[in-house]
Amino acid sequence: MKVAYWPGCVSRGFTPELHGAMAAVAPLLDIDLIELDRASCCGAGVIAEHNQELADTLNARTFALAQQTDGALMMNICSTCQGAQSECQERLDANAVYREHINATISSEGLHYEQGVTNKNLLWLLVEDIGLDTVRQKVKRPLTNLRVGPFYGCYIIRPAARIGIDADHPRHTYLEQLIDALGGTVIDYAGSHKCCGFPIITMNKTASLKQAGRHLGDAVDADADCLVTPCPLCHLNLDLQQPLAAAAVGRELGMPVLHLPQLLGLALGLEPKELGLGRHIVKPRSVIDWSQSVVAAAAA
Amino acid sequence: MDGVIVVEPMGNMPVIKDLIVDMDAVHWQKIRSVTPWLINREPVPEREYLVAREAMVDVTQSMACIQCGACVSDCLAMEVDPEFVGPAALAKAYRFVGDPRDDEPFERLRHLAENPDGMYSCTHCFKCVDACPKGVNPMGQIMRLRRIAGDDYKIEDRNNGYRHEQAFVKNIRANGLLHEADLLPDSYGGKFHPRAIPELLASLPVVIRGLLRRKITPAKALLHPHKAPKPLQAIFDQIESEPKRYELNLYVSGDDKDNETAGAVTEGAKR
Repeated sequence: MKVAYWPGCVSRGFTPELHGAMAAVAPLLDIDLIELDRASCCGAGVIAEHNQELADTLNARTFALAQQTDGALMMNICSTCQGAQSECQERLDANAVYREHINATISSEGLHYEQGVTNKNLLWLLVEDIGLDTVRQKVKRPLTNLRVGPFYGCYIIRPAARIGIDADHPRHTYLEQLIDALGGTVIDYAGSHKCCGFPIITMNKTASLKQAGRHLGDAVDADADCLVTPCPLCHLNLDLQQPLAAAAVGRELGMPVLHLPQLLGLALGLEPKELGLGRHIVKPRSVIDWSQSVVAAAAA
Repeated sequence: MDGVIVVEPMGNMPVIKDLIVDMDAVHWQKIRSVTPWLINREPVPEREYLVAREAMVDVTQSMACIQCGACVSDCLAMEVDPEFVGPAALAKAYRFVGDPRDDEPFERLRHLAENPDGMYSCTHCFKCVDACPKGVNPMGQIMRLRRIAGDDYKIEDRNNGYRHEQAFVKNIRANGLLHEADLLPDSYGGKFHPRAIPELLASLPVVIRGLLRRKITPAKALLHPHKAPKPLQAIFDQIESEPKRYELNLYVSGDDKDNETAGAVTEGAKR
């Protein structure tokens, strides 16, 4: 399947292991990535807060670039991009006068946004387009006995109507379904659908770190081996800031947090090193030990 | 959606007994804190005020609030920061900031921006949007408060809300993609700003660990691997120089499906 691929900013910034892991798993899932290298930041909600027209124009430009490719749809690997872009798309698709006003601005680059782009996070693509049965067939190293806690990121599950959650598309359950399809054990804990706190890290650092620390602590208490998230911004607060989050909640955490393509890659047979697991602030020892024990068991 | 109905007292408020919570201690106290009444713009006209229809339709969205407290109960920021003014009170604040008849929008905004638990403590989690049974969209109202405080009144608050927004926009205009290594110090006023130095020092252990793990490379942190293409910068310059913000408020305009006379695009008044 060929897709117009929007990796977002952070996967090429402070979470380079995410970009690498996606590139490594794509061929194993027959996903052909056409990277949108001229597109810009989605604005992460901050630009829309500053100037709605500016955010909508930047994302209309990205959608138009995606529509110029021969990809079946546009795919992203960031919950925040998904949510921020869906918000802009809602306005662009709702009103023809507004859309043409925005199109006039991007026309200087020969671009034009046609109403109704399909933009899906990798998680949605896996469940809705590739299908979990196909994913299951491609699993080479089932995540047997690996206890994985889902962490969605707000932007990919709320608001439910805009994000397209309905009886036919229970997108707020896809991570659990995927962990199960990969052979892992889903860990139910309080923080899975809550906010990591990242958007206010520079405005209310204490509250931000307490949010991250509380969810990580809940996952520790639920005896998870690791968390998995489709959002690199959540990853920044849950992994990069984890030492500070631990101090904010006054307890030891040590909870590894994997990017979605990393967990996928492990089950598809890739090695932890190929997936950049060594690049995390909290070294995912439990996950690496698990993968070594699986390899050792297979060899025995 | 899983067919199980959980009955429990509302969240973020002290339980008096069983399912009864003390709404006065949290919800109403926060509502009172935002001066929830109109402060007349002087001179008061002899007859009625004349205001634009769109402006009043806009504030009817927050006027639709029935004070049920569902958004307060679900607010994720209040879970860790009980002092946070919260979604219901901030939506109420917008009801008056957005009302063209109100005389004190600047004072209202300054107060909410300077409050360490004010409008910049909202985390964008959308919980209140989904919780509200009346479509008030409290988070949307909070974003409007921030937009007017930052873009119209340039209120430089002590919580870095304004600086963060400005730093983010400047960062994307220059780089096209977010350059995180600049965003953090710039959100505190710049690398050498007295406010930034303690923050950067506090982040040092994390930065060192990031360097050791090759998550962050010195080249990536210090150099700018991306540069925004000129047409992208032109978009920023064109839109930022417009005298009025061009906005689509779906609450006011509806969408083309319900409105055959499409074109009800509203202009955000720059004050």
